[in-house]
Parts: sequence; C-alpha cells; structure tokens
Amino acid sequence: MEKNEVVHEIYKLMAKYNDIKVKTYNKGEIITNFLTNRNYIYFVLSGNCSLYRYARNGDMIFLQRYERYDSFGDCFHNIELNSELSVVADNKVSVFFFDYDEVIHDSHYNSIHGVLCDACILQLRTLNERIEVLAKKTIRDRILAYFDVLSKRSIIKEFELPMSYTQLSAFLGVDRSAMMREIKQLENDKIITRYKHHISIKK
Amino acid sequence: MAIAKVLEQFIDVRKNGDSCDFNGYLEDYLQTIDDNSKDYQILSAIFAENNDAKVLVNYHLNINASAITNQIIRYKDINKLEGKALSVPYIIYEAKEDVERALIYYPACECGYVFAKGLYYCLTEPGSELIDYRNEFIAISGDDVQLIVNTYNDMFKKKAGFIQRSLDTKFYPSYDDMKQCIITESNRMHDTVFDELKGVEDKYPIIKDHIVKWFLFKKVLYVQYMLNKDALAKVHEGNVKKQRNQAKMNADEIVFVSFSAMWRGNE
Repeated sequence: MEKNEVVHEIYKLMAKYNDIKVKTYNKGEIITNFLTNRNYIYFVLSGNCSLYRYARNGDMIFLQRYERYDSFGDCFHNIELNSELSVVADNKVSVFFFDYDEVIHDSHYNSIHGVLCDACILQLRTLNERIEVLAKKTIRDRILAYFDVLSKRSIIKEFELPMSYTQLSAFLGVDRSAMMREIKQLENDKIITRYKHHISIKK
Repeated sequence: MAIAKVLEQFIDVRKNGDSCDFNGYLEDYLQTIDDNSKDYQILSAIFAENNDAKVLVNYHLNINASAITNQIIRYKDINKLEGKALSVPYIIYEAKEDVERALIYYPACECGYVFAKGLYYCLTEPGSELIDYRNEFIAISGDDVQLIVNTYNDMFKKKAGFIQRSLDTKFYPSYDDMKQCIITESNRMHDTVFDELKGVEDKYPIIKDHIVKWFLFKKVLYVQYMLNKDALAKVHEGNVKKQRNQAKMNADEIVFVSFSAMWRGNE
C-alpha cells in the first residue's frame, strides 16, 4: 500500500471507533512537545511541520521535516527532560492523532494493528533514505544523493526543496556555509541550476 | 573584523539576548513572518538573489547623550525614554568573498528614508560601537522592490558613499525638499498626537514613537546640512561655525509636543 492509502485506512478505522482527534495549526504554532511519554501518534493530513530540539543555550536544532501522510510522535523518541523536542507547523497543518498505548493494548482495535505496522514500515523507509544520504562521505556527495532522492519523486528532473537551506544543512549534518559553497560549485559545474528553492538537475 | 562578523555576534531573544528580536539567516526569518506582508515581499526578493544573506531584526540601541550632535540639537525628551529607545527595523548583511556590507531597511512610510538615515547616523556616530563600520552601511526605505534589491546587490560592487548619495537625490532632489517633507510630517504628528492618545490605556508606545521620530527628524536635518559641502562653500563661505548655526536653526524648526504634555494629554 502507498503511504496515502495507509493513512486514509487508519483514519477511516479510527473514525469508526470514534476515537480520533483532528486539529489544525497555523504557521509557527507548536503541534506537540515531547516532554513526557504520552505515546501519542500523529499523522499529517495536510501541510508540513518540522521537529526541533531546543538546546540549553537556546539553539533550535532542526531534526526532521514531516510532509503529508508522514507520522510522528513521542513514542518514536527517547524523551529527555533537559532537551525538549517540539513539532512546529511550517505552514497551515492538519493532523489527526490518537493514544498509541490504548490502541495497541486493546483488542477492540485489532483491525488497525496491521495497518499501523504498514505505516511504521513506510516511515522507516523514509528514514532509511536519509541514512543512505548520510552514509556519503563528502558534502557534495550528500547533496547529490539527496537531490537524487528528490528528483526520483518527479518525472522531470526538477523539484522544489521541501525545506529551507538552513534545514537542509541540518538534515545533511553539514555546516550551512560549506553546503552553500558546494551548491554554488554544482551550479558553476553546470550540474544543477536553481532559483530560490527550485532545483533543476542538468546532468 | 568587518561588519558581517560583528553583526553576527549580536544575540537575539531566542538565545535570551536583548540586543535584537532575530539575528540569523534571512531565509529562516522569512519562515517566521506573514507571507502576504510587504516586508516579506521585499525580504524574499533579496533572498531570491542572495541565499546567504542574514538579517538583524529590531536591533535596539541607546541614545548616545554625550554625542556632540545630540547635545547641539538639544532635544531633552529623548533622554527621558526608558532603556534602549531606538530600534532599527532591519539590518540585512552578508559577506560576499572579501566584501562585507549591511543594508539598513526601514519599512515604507511617510519620511521612511529620513528615519533610515537617522538610524544610520545614530548607529555610526562617535561613541557608538559601530562607528568604525560607517562606510560599510547603506540606509534605504520604501516599497520599490527592484530598487531595494538592486541597492543590495550594488553595495558589494560600489562604494557605500556613492550609492547613498545616489539614493539621497532619488528620494529628495535637494536638502530643501527633504526639509519640507520633514516639516510637513512633523507638523502632522504634532496636530494629531492628542487625538491618537485619547482613550488609550498604555500611552507609552505612542509617546515613545513620536519622540523617537522627532529626534530622528532633528538629527537628520542637522547632520545632513553639516555634511553639505556645497552649502559650506557657497552659502557660508567656508565658515563651519555659520554652517553649524544654520544646521541648528533647521533642526529647531521642528515643532513638537513635550513629553509631559503628551502624558497629560493637553498642551
């Protein structure tokens, strides 16, 4: 099953049990703070949001971006009291969520377990894509590997970066200035062209 | 150290600093503001061509009471304001190869260019921490996206002074035109301030806004005239004392409502 089908299936089943919460958030609003293990699981119905870790010195470290049909929740993380994790809406976002513990331990919800497993596998695939990118040794290779992942999502070799350059540098685990230098070099080498966040792959 | 390196070091409120509301990549700032605002259009146009630009938002600075200019214009109400009274809306800065420059941008409003220049004079006057970088700043205002983007791009290629002088003549063909615009706006503020304060519970933000603007008007009228070499040579026959006297008289033409009268709500 595709990601959208899985999420719609979960939504349909949970709605049948009348046990679903749907909420919309505006740009900049915090969707959830992973402060305690409440074990809620969230699915994005529309819009985008990002996961940040707030460090003690006030730094907001970007960790991951969630797009339509992605899932997130405190159950996916080790919760530490000293460095808070927050999911913040990047634009208008609709999510639905439910208590994972309740669903997984109650036989009443048996029909949903298989689909939840599918959703987890699909989420793992996305994370594995990132591991592939991070396995590259140089900044240039990481950028190209990620652009390759993005370009495969569209028929033409053009795409809109799903995140800002600052977030991209955090996503690739590299310094932003060094990453921008490499991106400019890729332009000079006529491998890509770009305008704002729109990238075209030429070679 | 050049200007971009210096500005990078100001700590914003996100890190418990008190010098500005935001200091970081322009791209990241754009994600935090309303996409439909005029500021967004201008800032995103700069970002489109300059992906590494950074921005300092609402940089707060103190009035330098000991600066000679501030003593000459003698606007004592400005010293009655609490804390860091002045605020520079946007300083967009970047290091491109070996050149580091900063653009002071004041959002479009009546006399916006005057406020931008006034803030530039405050940032770079003797005693200020940025005095050594006065030739690395350019001040601009307005809502002409193309002009602002071109100015930003040009400042890495041309001398700041040359660009600033071109902007001066673009906004106000002569000193007298600028003075006329300032006096008209200052008089309007004088005539409407009591109506604005009527029924307002927290009067301080309005009072502060008026005092800061009157201060910047006086400052620009004084400093701009003192920088006018033509006036010194042709009108004052090279006599700086006479020029200073005239500059002071120009600044004195600003009619304002006193701090206490604004609190009382009547003259």
